[in-house]
Amino acid sequence: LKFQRIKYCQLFIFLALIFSSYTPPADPNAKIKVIFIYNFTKYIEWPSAYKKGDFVIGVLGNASLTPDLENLAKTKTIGTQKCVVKIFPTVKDIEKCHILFIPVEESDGLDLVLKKIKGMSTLVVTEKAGLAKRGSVINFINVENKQKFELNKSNANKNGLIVSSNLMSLGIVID
Amino acid sequence: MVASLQAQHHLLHKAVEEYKKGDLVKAREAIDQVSQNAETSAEPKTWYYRGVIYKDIYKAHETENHSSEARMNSAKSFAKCISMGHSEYSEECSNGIKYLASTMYNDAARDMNAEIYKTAFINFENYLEFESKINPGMVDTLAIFHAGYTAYMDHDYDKSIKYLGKSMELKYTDPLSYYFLGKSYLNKGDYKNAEIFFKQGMQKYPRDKKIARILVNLYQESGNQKELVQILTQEIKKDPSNIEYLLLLGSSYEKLIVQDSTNKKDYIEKARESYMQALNVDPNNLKANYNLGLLFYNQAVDKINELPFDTDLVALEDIQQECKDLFKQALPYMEKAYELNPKNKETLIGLSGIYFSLHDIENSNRIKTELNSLEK
Repeated sequence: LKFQRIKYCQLFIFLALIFSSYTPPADPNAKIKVIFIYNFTKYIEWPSAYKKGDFVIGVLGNASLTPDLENLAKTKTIGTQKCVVKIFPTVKDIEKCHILFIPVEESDGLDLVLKKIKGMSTLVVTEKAGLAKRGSVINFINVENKQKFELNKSNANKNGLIVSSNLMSLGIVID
Repeated sequence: MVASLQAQHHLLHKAVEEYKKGDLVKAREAIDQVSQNAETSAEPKTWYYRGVIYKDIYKAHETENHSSEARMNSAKSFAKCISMGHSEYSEECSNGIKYLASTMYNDAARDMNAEIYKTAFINFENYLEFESKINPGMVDTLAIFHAGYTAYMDHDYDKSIKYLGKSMELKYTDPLSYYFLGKSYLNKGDYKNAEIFFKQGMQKYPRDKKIARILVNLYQESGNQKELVQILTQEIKKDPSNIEYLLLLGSSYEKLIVQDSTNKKDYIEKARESYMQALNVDPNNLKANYNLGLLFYNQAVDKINELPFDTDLVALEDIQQECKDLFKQALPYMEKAYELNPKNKETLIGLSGIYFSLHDIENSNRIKTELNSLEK
């Protein structure tokens, strides 16, 4: 009897090669806008009546920066004031606030917002081209793929806000 | 007592006579009775004839049965005869075992080739057992290895560890021993021993790609990125065009960025180098393009996420510039990945994110629309 020739089963070894996994944030620029907003509180002075109680940052509708604003409120104060974020689903829900952020999706309601906050010292912040001329104080714009802001000093003054000259030097001033 | 012994001897004589006449059935009945008797079972002659009778039964009826009982009975009987000390039957018993063991080996080999591993293993094990009865000093390391291999293939990892370990102790040289031994430990959940044998195998057979590959898999599964980087680097040195390993190395460095943030900058650079090397090998590799694009994109996103809220506006301008540069670096790779496969969801998500980050909302929305239509 001759011994049999042996053969081995073929070895299959697979490597688990996968795509790098990362879920991109909905808006990586949201954090940058919130940093801008926090900086604005240092360069803008509100009337004395607004220096007591909570410092309210309002947001009209849904905005991608809301989670970052909420993180800001949890970790920072504005001067000695506690920071609070309030979401206003519609224009008629808007209450007294120090800053009101109007996301691009709600921009069409700017005129109604301005009527609603008339007489209040609210820093209106928008993010659509042309809105600084139409009543907002600060308007985020993109210049060469970077986040910048326009500043309308006269709109600020109308609302009783005093803007530092340092902030004007950092933004694009609109008359 | 004497009468009983005489009767048993008579029965043994009858078994031999029936065997000589060729009546194996009657011969077996008689020899089985004799072998169960206390007196006659102590005689070598009884076991010799039992071996002979069963061997002929095997040859006559059971050669196609790889689990033949007759063969086992025959081999055991011959072995029993030998164990009783030297006698006039010893040589023939040895020859009988030699013959039977060779049939066991051949059946084992046939079954192994036919991927019937259970009987293959049993026959290798039996072959080894009976060979050791007639050649106590002889060691068939190949058969020991095969016993281990078939046990492994039959998922009997305790046995595969036993035989593969033994084949190694006996200096059987084949990288497969390390491979299957390591895998046996791994399948038992013994990661530590698996790693020991894979590493030994790699040291002994540095050119063997299978062991390196399984070790790569092992570290990948366990998430041991530092060891994974080490082995991938070694293997890439041997074959710098191994695109799979280059991609894996890049991805492993990316995982180290998260695990060991103190050396983050270094790991990012090494991940980039690995992906770039992969692209040098194949510029149209989807994963290399995607991963490189995402590496730059993630760097920018991390920079933004790590920013403290009280970053001043002048510093913010500088960081935005850095991030813009990174997003721009990411874009051509992600666009290339998109060109290579416009239906890949990950690529669409990544590309849309990069456009969005560069404030190119029009393109970001266009890609999002494509993504949405894919998901429908």
